Amino acid sequence: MSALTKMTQVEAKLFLRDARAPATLLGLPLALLLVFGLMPGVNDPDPKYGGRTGLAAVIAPMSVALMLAMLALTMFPNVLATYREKGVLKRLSASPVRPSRLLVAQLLVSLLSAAVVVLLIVGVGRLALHVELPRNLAAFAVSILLGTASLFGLGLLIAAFAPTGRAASGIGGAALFPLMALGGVWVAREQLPPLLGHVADVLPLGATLSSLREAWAGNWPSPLQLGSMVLVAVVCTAFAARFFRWE
Amino acid sequence: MAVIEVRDLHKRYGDKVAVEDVSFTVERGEIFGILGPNGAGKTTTVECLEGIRVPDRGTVSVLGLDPQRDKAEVRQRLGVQLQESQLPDKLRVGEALELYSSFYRNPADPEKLLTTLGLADKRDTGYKKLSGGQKQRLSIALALIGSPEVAVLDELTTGLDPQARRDTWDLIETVRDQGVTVLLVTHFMEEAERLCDRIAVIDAGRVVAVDTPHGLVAGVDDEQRVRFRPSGPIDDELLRALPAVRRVERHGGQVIVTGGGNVVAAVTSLLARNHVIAGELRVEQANLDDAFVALTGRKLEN
Repeated sequence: MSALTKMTQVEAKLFLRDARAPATLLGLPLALLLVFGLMPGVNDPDPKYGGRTGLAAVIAPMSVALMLAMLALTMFPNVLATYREKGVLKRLSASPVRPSRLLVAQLLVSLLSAAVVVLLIVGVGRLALHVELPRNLAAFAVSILLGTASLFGLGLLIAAFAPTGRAASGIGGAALFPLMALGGVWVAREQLPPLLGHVADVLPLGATLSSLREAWAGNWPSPLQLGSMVLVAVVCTAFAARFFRWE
Repeated sequence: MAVIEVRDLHKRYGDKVAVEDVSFTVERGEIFGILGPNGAGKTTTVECLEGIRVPDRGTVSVLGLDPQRDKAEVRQRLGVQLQESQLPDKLRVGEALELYSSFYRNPADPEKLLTTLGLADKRDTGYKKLSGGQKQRLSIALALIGSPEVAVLDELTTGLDPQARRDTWDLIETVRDQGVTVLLVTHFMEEAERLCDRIAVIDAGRVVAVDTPHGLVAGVDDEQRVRFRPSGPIDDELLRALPAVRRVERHGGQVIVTGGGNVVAAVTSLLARNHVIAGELRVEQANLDDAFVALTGRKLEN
């Protein structure tokens, strides 16, 4: 078995063994969906959202976007920074396998668990709450892909600079708040003043959320939203690659 | 054939010179020690061998290969135990060995290694729950999992209790008996004296001596110290007149005579002739500690 396959297997086991991370990852978005799903009127056609339900227009895309952000900005950098702090990466660099392989393995595990949770959010929403499926599936896939790339790019950057695992989750958590506030999570994007609306289209969490909402409604995200996600992904990853230390 | 060759190695970090001038060779099948105080440049030296660090000057060769140019090949054949490197908390002993065995061309049998290292009943225990000694043994197992020709072990008994330390020493001898050349980095005199065939003493980034433990001690001095409490008066001048005697000191009622190889016989027969009995008689020989002091001008702090 190749070293990368073996590493990915081990990382997956470690991820599942630490019950807190999978529970949070799965529990938070589903709880968000179910709690809002029980509120009266939220599943009725709403003229505010062009006759679509509040669940499909706002809550379901938000569950997906928040889950991705949590995974990419706090959990993923925490694991990498902890590995560096404990010398796990340095030990690997003295073996025939490059330590970057561990980073790739960890990324694969994160992406796989993100995919599972996305399917669960859409599936549970559909079956339990009759939330409509995203109307533009191609746009949905593109939004997930680019949103994931931009958020994990930012996560990599945090992992590159955080000295310890604890610091990494701290920085990630601290970054999450402004990204939520300015990203149309607390106040919906269309209720923000025009200037802040543009800010929400550019920041990675906001761009992901806006794109997902467009896809759910059957539209394509705007070039600004798509372009900013690509830009953030590329710039953050480049900086992370430049500054990442294995010890 | 030399397994490891280090020539005129120099490495600095910013303004700080970590390794000033280090040269030594390690022959196949020996346990070679690098002994020196903390901060002497021991770890930097072996990290250059492992290919983790790039030397500023000098040449390093492992099994005839350049650790920078032939990184992949050197890492296949060189087993490494790093100072202060840990594993993920929840990674189990058996999983760690299996994982690392997938990195090597010709891995050792993980089951056999677990048994040899006394970890067989810890196979399903997570790394975090292991004792210090068990963690250390696991890191030795990981250094051996690739069936290496050379193993570099950095401070492998630091933080272990005396029993675990002795067990680890036995283990290292077993490893060598299986044909693995061992490069041992240590700041413990006792460890170097007990295990090493030859030792390079490093101080402030320089090699100050390379010899067998016995040779290092003998090279320093043949001096011995005789301490005793005389039963009656004995004149210092009589003692000083003996050809073997170099110094005579008194501490309270104790006489301390320092001299060459036959000082013990000379002093005891002088006392007998004067009908003085030497109470609490003790003879102290120079050891590796004295050798270190003589070579570097200071004590090796543990």
